[in-house]
Amino acid sequence: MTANHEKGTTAIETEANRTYLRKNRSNRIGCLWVPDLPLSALARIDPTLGDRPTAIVQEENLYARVVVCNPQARSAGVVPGMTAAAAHSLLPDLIVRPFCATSVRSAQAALLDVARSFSPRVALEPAGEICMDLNGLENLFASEQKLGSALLAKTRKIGLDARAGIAATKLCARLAARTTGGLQVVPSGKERAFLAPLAIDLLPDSAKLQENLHRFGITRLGALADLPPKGLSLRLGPAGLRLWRQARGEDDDPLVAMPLPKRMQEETDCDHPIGKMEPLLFAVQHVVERIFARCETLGFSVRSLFLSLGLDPTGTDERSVQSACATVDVSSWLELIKTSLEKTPPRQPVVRVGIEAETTAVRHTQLDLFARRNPGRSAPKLDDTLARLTALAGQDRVGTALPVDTHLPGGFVMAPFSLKTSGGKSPQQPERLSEPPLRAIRPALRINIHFDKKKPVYIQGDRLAGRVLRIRGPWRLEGNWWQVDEIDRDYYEALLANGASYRLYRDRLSDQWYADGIYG
Amino acid sequence: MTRYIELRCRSAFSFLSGASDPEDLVDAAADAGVQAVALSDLNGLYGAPRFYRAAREVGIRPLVGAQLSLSGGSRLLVLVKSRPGYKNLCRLITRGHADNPKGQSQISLEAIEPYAEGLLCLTGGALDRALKNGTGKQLLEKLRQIFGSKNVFVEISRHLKRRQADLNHALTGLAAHAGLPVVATNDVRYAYPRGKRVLDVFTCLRHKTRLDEAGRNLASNREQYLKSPAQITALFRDFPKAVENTLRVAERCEFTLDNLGYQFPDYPAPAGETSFGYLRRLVQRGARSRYRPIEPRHSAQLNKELAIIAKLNLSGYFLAVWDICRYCKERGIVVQGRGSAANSAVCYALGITAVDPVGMELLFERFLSEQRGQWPDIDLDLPSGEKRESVIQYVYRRWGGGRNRSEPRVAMTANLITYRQRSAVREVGKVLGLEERRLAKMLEVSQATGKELDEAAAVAGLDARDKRVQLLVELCEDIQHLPRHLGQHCGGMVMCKGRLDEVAPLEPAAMPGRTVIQWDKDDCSDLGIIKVDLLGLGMLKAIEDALPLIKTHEGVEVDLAHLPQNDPQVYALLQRADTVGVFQVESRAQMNTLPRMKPKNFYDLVVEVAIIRPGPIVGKKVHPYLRRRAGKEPVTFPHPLLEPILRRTLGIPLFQEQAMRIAMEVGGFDVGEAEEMCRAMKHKRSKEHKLKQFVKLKEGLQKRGLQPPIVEQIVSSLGSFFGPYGFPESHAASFALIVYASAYLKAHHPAAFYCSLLNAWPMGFYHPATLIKDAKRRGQTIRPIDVNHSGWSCKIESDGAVRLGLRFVRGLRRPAGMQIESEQAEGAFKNLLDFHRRCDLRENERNTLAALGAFGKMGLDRRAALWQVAALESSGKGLLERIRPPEERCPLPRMTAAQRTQADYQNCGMTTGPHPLAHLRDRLRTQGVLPLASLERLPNGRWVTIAGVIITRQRPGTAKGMCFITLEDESGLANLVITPNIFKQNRLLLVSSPGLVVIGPLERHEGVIHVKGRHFNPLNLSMEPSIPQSRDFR
Repeated sequence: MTANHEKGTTAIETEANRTYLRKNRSNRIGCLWVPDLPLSALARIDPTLGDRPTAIVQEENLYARVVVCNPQARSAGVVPGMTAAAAHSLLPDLIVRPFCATSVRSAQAALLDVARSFSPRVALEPAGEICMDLNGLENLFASEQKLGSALLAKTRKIGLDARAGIAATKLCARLAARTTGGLQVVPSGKERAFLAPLAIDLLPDSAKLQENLHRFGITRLGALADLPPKGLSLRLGPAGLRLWRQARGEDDDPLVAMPLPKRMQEETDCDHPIGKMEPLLFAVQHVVERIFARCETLGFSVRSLFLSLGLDPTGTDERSVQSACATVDVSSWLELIKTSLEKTPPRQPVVRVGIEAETTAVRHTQLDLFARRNPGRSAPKLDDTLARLTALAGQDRVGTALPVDTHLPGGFVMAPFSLKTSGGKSPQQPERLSEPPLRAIRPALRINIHFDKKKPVYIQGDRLAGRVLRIRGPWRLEGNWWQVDEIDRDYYEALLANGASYRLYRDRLSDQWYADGIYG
Repeated sequence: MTRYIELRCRSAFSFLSGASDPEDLVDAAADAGVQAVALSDLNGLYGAPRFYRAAREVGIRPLVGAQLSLSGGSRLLVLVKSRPGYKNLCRLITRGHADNPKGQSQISLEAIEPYAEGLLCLTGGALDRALKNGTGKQLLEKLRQIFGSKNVFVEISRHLKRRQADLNHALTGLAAHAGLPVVATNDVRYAYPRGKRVLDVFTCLRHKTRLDEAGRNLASNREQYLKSPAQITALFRDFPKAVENTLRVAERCEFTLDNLGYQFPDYPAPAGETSFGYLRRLVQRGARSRYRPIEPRHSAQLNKELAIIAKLNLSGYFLAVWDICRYCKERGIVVQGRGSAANSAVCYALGITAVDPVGMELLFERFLSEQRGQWPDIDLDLPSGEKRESVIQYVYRRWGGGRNRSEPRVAMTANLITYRQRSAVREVGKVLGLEERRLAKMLEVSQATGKELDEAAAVAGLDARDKRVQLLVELCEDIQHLPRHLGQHCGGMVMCKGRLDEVAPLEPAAMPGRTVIQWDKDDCSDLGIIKVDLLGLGMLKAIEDALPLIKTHEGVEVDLAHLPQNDPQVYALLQRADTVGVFQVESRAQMNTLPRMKPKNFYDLVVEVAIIRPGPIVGKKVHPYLRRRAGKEPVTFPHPLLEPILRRTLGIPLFQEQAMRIAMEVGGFDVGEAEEMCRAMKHKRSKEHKLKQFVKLKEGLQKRGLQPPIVEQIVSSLGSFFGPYGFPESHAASFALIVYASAYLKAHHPAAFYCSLLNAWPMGFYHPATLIKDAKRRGQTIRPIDVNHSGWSCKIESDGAVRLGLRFVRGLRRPAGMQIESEQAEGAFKNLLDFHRRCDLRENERNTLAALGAFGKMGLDRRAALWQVAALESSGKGLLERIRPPEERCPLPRMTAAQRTQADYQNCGMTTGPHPLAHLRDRLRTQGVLPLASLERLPNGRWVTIAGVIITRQRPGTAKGMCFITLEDESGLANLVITPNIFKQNRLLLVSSPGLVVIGPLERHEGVIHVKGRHFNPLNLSMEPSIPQSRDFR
């Protein structure tokens, strides 16, 4: 290396150091990180998993690969990247669960709550860690060790086994959390020494740079820090130089505090298992009121609620309650929840009530003097009514009837009722024939037919009877051969002497006759 | 008397629109008492040959037709009245497919007009649709203009659907108004009602949906089967005329596929000479050069063959094939006839084949005879790749019908892809809505254990009582062997004297500039259309590339036609199974057989090639033959009459020719019958036909005085193993020549052998990494890639070492590699900057070369090169070059030996340096792991611990679940044998780990060594992702 070059390097280093020290003189950042978060989050929701070998896959299909597994599974040879089938072949008792984004979000929200309980400035990092600004807490805790211990104690309370790191920079704090079994505090000014033995793979968001560094044979942050910055800058550009500075513990990446969440989450543990509806609704009401109080403070309205009821001794009852329009009317929401719980009560006594609210900003609209009143304003009442009807009649009997794509006459399905009108022809609109309308007889009436020389002459049933004047058919309908309820019918149209026209069919499988419609 | 002919009938050759084989439709027609049926598939005559063949056998008249997709989306049925009509239909179908994506066809009514002669039109769906749109009258008028009033029929069908009554009413009214006759059809989609289920499955596949969601895409009932005249008459009792009209239509359709008017193109003989005279002259000239001297037996055979060729008027065909071979030889392209052509002395004399059939006592009748009833089939092996393509293009140019091919005369044959168990289970299961995971497991179980699908379903966790699971099993059985789609045969070409698109419909192939005839090779053969197979063979390319290398670097001119016979070094190499890279005998099974077989002459190679095949293995012929060969079992013959036929194979029938000879010389068959028997044995579908042939053979043998037990023994011996895998002796002989040639090159010219083998890759059995290690073990120097020495391809350097080519550098584009090669000619690259200035490479390409050490000769170790290459990126080219910073000392650590090996594997998939295991040897030694080469010195039964990288995994269907794995370390290869139970216990490790540590007893048997794997551990290789993919279960 030439003298000039060395001189240049020293100049860069000194300037960078000065800037860094100026910025970070008394900065302290804390970081919370939960290893194998999807697994911990799942275990938090489902305590039955306990210490059983468990693996999480991205999605449930044949080629699903293990994303993360617990130590019990790892000890049997299960590793991330392995197919679920392969993992099962190694460990038949392995519990395989699909990745649950909700549980992860819920765990992160809980962690954020913990962090917020210490500092108003918290941030969720892309890699899943939660960083917080710890400046000013030195007067509340005797040492950073005690502060860290308090953080960990609180995370344990929410059912998560987190790691904590405290350092002068965000990166150091993050790496401190990721490389410890509990709490790691990096004293100010010792950042470079702390980072030196760590693998460069721990650096976030720099896959391409890491690939280049690996090609150069640089695997530790210490080795990276020892490279000449000018040469590195020439080869890896500003990003390389930034990485080099990070490797030296010089990180001026600011902590960008998060805004308040769009989802509100509250939960409560019951003092004793609740087996009856009234006390359960009472407990639910408390949680709902807390959530709505928060929402109201922030000017949020609630679009839907997700209930997670912890059951005794194990298990969870999860359900969501939707409203046609967002509202903060607590009584409406409680009515919806009540209807839902009364229709399908929890199968076991409840020990924990958790509610997550999907929030949205309250909309203010200018009322129109001439327009009809927006039916959406009565949405809570409509929802209430629909919920009651569903509870009475059953899920599949309330909604809007839509024709289905089938040869079977009169086939339809129930779609959820919606205030929105489709405005246009249904894609499966039946063809309009130039014939009288048919009124369906549901269920079809069983009838007897009297024949004369194989020709139907008289029809007799519960509510119909008559001499056959004319009969058309058969039109054969065979279908659903792959299902248990196979169909094999011959359809006819019969004009009776009394002037009525019926649609009849013979079930060829049972050789029974039915009338299932009357024309006109 | 038949009162009805079915005129609209789709087979499964309508691809997902019909559900029955043509043969099944014929059976149904026979059952229903229908005297004639028109097969009218969608936009093609794909099934016509099979329909014709089957119909002819049962005495049903096969009418020819097709449903043409019109531009508006409707379809028109046209039936062929006469030969001109057939020509027109072929051209219409060809035109419909032209300019449309593969598998799709569309034609306008205007385009049909010039080709309407000789065709009848049934209005079908086209008129139904027009009626809905209110344009029925106009369409009918238009059709009348195109086809003529007498040739248009208004078609009505009755499938017990409500709307059909109204539609038929409207159609008959329209017909009456237009004065056109009405004709009844049943628009058949399946032979029997049961076929509706298959059609429903196909419909779902066509619409990419499941049965539960298919809705009205499925037909409402199963009435579209082939109905009897009585049923149709009853159905149309109010329209008797419509039924009667079907007879009138059928009477007018006189054309059948009996005579397509196909003629093989004439070969332009020299002036004043007939093509036969020219052929005879060429044969005589060739014979003089081949046979030195020509003996009476040679002359007799040649004269016999020429007489048959003259009688069958095949001179043009032989001359055309000779012309292709001449073209190849003039351009230095190695060409060799294979298959039954090697039975012909004329082919040998013309230089088409390289095996002397007279000397080898091969059976000419297997190739050609008067009674054979089939055209001869000549397959030519060519070097795979560009040269083969150049030959195909030559055929197009020579016989293809002009520069712009406006009159197509040449096309490739089709390759019919049918449903197999795997595809059937996957697709039917999907349609039934069964869990994909379970289906895969079911298949896996079925294939691993040979269990039937229903048993396998239960193991896979599917409830065998579930209706859908039962249906899955039934439907898979039903759709197996039904056509799935049409592909292009890899090298079959048909040529025609006139327009080929008037003989058969053509379709554009996926490859630009290629057209495909709608029939496969068997269909062509049945209809008398001659094809020539131009097949690519990687080893021929390697051999072809090796010859000039040998001449340049060793000064030796190797003439493949005159290689030294019975070369001891070649046979020594083969006997010790040192055959990595040698054609056909490099597989693990072959390598295990060679030390027991100990081939000593060419015929032994012929047997070696033929014996490791599914037929002889399943027929349990391998071990008896080897035992007899080793003198451990007496050579016996089932009957003295068979001795002359089976003598050369020690009493064990191995070849198709032997089966034919037994049938002819003992069973009393004539040549045609014997050929028919062989074809029946090969055919997978016609079990009944096969049985008939065996009964006939038994009768023939018994007439000859053979006792029933002996007859049974002979027939079961032939039937048990020939099947579809029977191997002709002539084919084995042609392959044996290439075996000998490649072994000769390996034994005498290893540098050229390995160099050309590497350049011809991908081919053969092993990855180049294994070939390189094999070369090194044999003392052949292989040098690494270097930008100042490596060309695009591997080459031999002045000292005889092989230099790896840039073609193996991962991610290096060919033009970039070629640029490096061309710049080398301008002078060596002085330094990296010089290289950068002269070669326009991408960043990743330069990085890869640096990581490979390709700049090593410039005094740069790999890391230093990487450091400098990275700096080049920011300095740019041109103006920026001038302000490039001064070079600095590299601050990076040098690569360790293991890291260099890893970099080699990462960047070119192989290394010329130490084997990955060499870096682990010290650690392995402490664990008691033996080098693989040391196994040769250990006694039988000794328990050993070995380790290596897996280079092949095999679990052949014939091995009853046994698994065979080949390991490689720095000292050599070793074979593992794993029993089904142990495989099951260690399945995951065995199929997924790139390397293994294995413990088990060593087994030594007749010179073959293997280790019976009992305990396994993964081999911890730090470079796992870079290790080349092993050859697994192929």
